[in-house]
Amino acid sequence: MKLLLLINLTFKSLLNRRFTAGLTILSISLSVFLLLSVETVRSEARSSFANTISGTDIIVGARSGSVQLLLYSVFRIGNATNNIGWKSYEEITAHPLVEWHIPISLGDSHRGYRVMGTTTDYFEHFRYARDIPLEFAIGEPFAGVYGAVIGADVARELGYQLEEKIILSHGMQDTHFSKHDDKPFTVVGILEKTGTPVDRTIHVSLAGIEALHIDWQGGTRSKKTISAEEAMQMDLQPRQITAFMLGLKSKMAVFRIQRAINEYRKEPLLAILPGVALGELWSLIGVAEKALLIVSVLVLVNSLVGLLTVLLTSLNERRREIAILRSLGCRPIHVFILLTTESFLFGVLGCLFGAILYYVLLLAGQSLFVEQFGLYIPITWFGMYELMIFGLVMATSLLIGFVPGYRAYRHSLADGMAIKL
Amino acid sequence: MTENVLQISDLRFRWPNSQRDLLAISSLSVNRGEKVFIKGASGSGKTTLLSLVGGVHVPTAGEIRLLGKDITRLSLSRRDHFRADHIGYIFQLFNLIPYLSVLDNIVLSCRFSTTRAEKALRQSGSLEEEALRLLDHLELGDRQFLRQPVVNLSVGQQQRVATARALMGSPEFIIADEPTSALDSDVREKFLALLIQECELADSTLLFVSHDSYLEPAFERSLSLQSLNEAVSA
Repeated sequence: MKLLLLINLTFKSLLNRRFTAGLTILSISLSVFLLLSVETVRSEARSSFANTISGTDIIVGARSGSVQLLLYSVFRIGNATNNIGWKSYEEITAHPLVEWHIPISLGDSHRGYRVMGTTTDYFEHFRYARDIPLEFAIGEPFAGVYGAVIGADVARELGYQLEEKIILSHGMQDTHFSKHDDKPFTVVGILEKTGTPVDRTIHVSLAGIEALHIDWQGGTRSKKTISAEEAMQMDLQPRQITAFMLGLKSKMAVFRIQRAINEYRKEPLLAILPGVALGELWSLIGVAEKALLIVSVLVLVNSLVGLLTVLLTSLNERRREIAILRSLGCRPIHVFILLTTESFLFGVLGCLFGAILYYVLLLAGQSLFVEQFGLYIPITWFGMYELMIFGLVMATSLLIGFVPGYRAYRHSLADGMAIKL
Repeated sequence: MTENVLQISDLRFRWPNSQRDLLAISSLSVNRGEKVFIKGASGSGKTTLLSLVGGVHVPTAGEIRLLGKDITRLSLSRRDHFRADHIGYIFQLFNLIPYLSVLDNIVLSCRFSTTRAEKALRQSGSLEEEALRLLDHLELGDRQFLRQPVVNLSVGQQQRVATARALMGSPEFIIADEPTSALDSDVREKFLALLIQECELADSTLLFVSHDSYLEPAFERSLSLQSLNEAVSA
């Protein structure tokens, strides 16, 4: 009975102070929203990260660091320090346990997008996320020397259609001198969106890469130029590639093959297991992720301290009100409950509005996230983590309420019937 | 028939960390229906005396019998309960809870006491009707007035609403602590007359504390705290 009355009084009192109360609730809502969002971004980034490659057992490159190899072969970030001889590639892939292999030749670009030389095996064997193969939105794999297959982001951002002629550049610069403008490529296929670096890649044949560089020496064009048609008549067998991916017939053989490649005598090679290297890379990135989490926790702590400040400030104004309630027979414990309920209510409303804000923005931004970042964030009911945040915020706000509650309790005993102003 | 409703004997009170007594009253008794004026300068312990009678504080020694019950022996919660059931309080100023309407403020006294709620219902059938009846007697009987936020009221109106709250459910005791000192002199007498008249109607005993001896003639009995209190400092 009394509890209902006290809750009713709390509501009316809060309504009376709706501006400060509103701001305090807003501050708590925003921190709850921040914590929810950070967790979503964290888990989505992590799964999207783990989704970039799947099904590949081993990646091989010139000897360097495993994270570096992973970065340039899968994420198209950074450059290889060295190449691999074609002979080594042929020898290793001839191993009876190798089921499929994809060569990767990097080093060129088109308007900021990386160009990757490979074979049509790439479209057949490469898998991402949960074993999903690459699909063509339109067109087909390249067949000729000068065919190019572009990722979904490349097509969308540059507005490319099939039959578009594109000029590749040497290296990552887009200057006139570095352009392979004598040998334009034709877009023959556009891939479906994957949400992986594949979307930002231009795929061409190894022969195409070879043709581009047939008249280049040491990073610049040689005097004697060879036209696109002439090049097609020449031997376009590549001599070097940057890296290659392997799929094995038996998962049991992974470590054996990895060791064999690492001990390959003719050339210093490095074989990495994508899962392990992803883990290493994630532990590096994880620091930023943790920093983000710590900052959001601090924001929450800050707004809860703000709550305490607001409650204690209002307590002085409410001493009069408490004396009136006491004169009417309100017990000190009721005064305690009155103030604690108020604090708890702040916590509950903060969580409620934080969650509403989170869902509203998620609903509104879902398609934007997919378009901009290839990040599909499913709208799900709250999991353990979210419920834990809510529980923690509400429990803390209740505990915070004990401070003004206890002070008011003491006041109500000491003040008696005197109204302190 | 005179019934003794308040009997104070050998009361002494001092604050926990004080060296000397603030109050020492060997005997004071008030009969049912009496309207008692207690005169005292500010700082003379008036409010403390009212806190003791209201059961908010407990005396250091002595007995306070209210309606035949020694409230100094009751537990804290029983005293709060006792106060809710039997005492109506009117303060000097700021009697009303600012975020409640006039009606909500008046019926609040019945929210903490089922005894008073029942009495009010017996009187008028509903709490709202009883509030309206009391306000009408206090010359504020407009139904529109009930829904008003109390911040819009003048001080005189506020004190009358506070009086209605104190009278709700006809408690045996009305304790008024300088209720008129914030009022203009012309409003003051009218307010006092209404207060006394309502206490008569409700058969409530009135303890009225003030420093203002000008009001004294309106009461049938007048006491001076100074002569009552034997602990007066030198």
